[in-house]
Amino acid sequence: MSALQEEKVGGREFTSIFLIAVGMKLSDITTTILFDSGQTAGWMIPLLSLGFMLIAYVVLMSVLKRHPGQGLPEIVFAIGGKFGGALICLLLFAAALLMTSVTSRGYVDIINVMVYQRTPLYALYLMLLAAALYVAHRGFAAIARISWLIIFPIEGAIVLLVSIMWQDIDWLRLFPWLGPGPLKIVETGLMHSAMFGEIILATALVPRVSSFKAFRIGSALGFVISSLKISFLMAVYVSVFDYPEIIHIAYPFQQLTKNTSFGRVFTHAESFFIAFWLLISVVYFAFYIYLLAYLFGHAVRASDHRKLQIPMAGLIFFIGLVPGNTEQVRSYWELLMSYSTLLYGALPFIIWMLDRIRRSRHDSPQHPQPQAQPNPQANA
Amino acid sequence: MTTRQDGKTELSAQLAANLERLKRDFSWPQNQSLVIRNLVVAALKRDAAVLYLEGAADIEEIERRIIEPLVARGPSEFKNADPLDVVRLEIVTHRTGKAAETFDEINGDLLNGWTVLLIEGADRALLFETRGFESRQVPEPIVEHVIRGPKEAFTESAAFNRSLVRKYLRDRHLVAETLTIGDRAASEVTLMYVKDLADPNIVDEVKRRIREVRTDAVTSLPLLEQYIDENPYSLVPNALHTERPDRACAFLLEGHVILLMDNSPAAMVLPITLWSLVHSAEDHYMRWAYSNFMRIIRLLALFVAVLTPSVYIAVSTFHEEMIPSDLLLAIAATREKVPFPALLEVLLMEFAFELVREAAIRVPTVIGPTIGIVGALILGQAAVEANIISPILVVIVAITGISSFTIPEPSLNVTVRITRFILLFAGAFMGFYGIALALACILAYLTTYTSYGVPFLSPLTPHYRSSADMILRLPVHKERIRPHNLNPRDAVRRPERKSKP
Repeated sequence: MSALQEEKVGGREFTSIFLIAVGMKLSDITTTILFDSGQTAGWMIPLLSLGFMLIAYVVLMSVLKRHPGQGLPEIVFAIGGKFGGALICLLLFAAALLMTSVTSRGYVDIINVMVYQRTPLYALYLMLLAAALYVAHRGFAAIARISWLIIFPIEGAIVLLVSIMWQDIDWLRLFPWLGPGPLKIVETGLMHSAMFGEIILATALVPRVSSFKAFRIGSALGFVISSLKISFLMAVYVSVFDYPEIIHIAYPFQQLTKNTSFGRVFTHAESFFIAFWLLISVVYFAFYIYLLAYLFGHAVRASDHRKLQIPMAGLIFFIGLVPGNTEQVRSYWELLMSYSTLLYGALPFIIWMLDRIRRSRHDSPQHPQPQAQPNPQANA
Repeated sequence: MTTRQDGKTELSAQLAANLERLKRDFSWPQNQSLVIRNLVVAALKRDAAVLYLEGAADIEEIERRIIEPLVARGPSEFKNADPLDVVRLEIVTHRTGKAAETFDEINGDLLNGWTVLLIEGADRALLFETRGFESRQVPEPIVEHVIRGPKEAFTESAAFNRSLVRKYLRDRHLVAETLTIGDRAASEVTLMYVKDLADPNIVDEVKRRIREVRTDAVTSLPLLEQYIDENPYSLVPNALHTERPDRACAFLLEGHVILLMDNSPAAMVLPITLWSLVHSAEDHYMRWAYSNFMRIIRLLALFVAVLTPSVYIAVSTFHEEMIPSDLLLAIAATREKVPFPALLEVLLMEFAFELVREAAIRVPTVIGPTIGIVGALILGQAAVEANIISPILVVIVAITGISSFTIPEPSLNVTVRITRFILLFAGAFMGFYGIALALACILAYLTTYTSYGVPFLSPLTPHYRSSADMILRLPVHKERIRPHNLNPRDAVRRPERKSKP
């Protein structure tokens, strides 16, 4: 079993993980918060964040390319040494842990408010994490394979949802299309770039993907498609619910599903969509539990990071219970978002710089410059 | 040995060299189907060898018409000079007899049940038609019915079964290896695979596991399946039993391995995937559209069989708004008189249904119909009239039961029935939330479950190249490549045709 779970993941499977891990944001509190500051122009923010994050991503990829077969933790340890490496790993881990806790709490809030009002919050939370823990325990391969299995039904369900709601869409509600003004939008986009922090975190998993090319294509594709999807869905939310109302709707995606019906007979189809959404949430958090255990395992040089998954789920659970109510969840989320934007935005540049310095020192007297070596691809 | 211009290899004058070449062609001694009988032709004072394929040739005819005259006839005056002509025209009493110059001819005829006679010093071989495939008294399949397609089934004799397989698949690379298991009462297991298709790792793994079985006696294949199972506690089967030789050959051609044993009227196929369990033997005998229609029906039936009771419980307990209002009122009206909660109702009915099913299998055939009548009465009318259950539940349980009968493989059938109860409790506990969480866990298990190293849901997930013969199938002319999840040594079934003839 252990040999199996260390198996590498193919390009398609990895791309689908990315599509799920990033695309899930169209259904959680991310959109709600973006509407607060973005108003009718909220749909532009994901695209702007994508633009900002792409720069950091490209810089990081240029470093990764020079270290074939190595993931973020390995590179960080190689560049920053034992202490610096552990520090950066732990910083990333802390940011990811807090973000996962707050996000998962947001999900449990949604489940609690929208469907299971009478079930205690912690019970719902425990069940969600237990299922996610089991999926994560089956390994990265399980997460990847489920993702590939359900990615087409998921995208199909979103298309179905939008096509059912098509008659309620009034695109004119997107106007005034600049919302609070261009400056404010750019600022919000920049400040919320960390909503695509997965793009930085996932580089830790490079050794788990079949090839670097598959990783590069998978992450870039997943990244771009997901942000386009989020942006489109946000535009749909505004066009369906209209501007002032959208701010008062806590969970636009779930609200949208509540309005769906299949013909005249089946007037309520939301449970169908919600069940689907729940299934994906389990995979989503399984991915995070796996990633957190992986990062922490590398930071403390643990021999088997999969044994850390149970403590990770426990940490997520207890930290997630800290906010007293949904309003606090949002304010914590905002706070975390700005700090982790700083981390995710700056880290690739720091790594790039350190890598540059280390190479120039390493290569100067004895070794020939790597750039001077003939590039096999240039000849071909 | 020389190779002619047309690529065919001619025989040499040395018996040993010719034998060596034939042994290599048929992977002897691994492949024990090739029988070699060395003898001395007394009349010519020369060494000779008689070769035939077990299961393909009629042994009695070979003994009486070929071997006996060769050995018994003493030296005397012959009319012909060529030793081959002497044997063919003056010694052997068989009704046929022709000379062959190339190995290609010999190989082809051996596979068709001909017998080869090689004589020292002769650079040609004699071939006698001794075809003896077991084709009489073959029973019809009992479990795996088809409307179209061959109606032959395996029997309790392993030799007979090997013959059936060879009859369907006349390939010299089809290897039949024999392994012995059991300390007290040793029994033989025949491992069959196509040597230039099956992944050697899989073959070795199967052989290793069979060798590792340490026990008194293994009397039949279903027992062997459990002895060599890697996850004995798993709900998911790890091997497939088929009683149809045509189906066994289809698996062999994809690179699977089959096991045959005396006393087992079936072939065990290893490794398996979900797709091999849900496909029926008939899927490839019907035209593309027909078989896909049947497959869609069966896929829906699989979902219905797994999910219906749990979804009913979830909807009627947690998500009433999903049911159309009129139906909701109708259900509520009939449930009014029923004192039990919905979960108990479903459990009662499912239990009763499983009872009838179990009883129908155990009961002697003569009393069989009685079970049906009593069962239908208890399950249907009487229980509803007695207000123990509501009519909607009869519908739910009946449709679930019928759906589960469409699953062709008995092991998967039980898996589905047990999974249904797991989901039923999850749905009763937390509605769609419970079902979704349970499904996620089940998917995580299924995607990482392996049968002899092959992922259970491959080549769908993880993705491998294949001819997409999974949920639906392509027209046969497009099924060009073998599924790569089995790592076949020859990946292409049929090279792509460059231009139309």
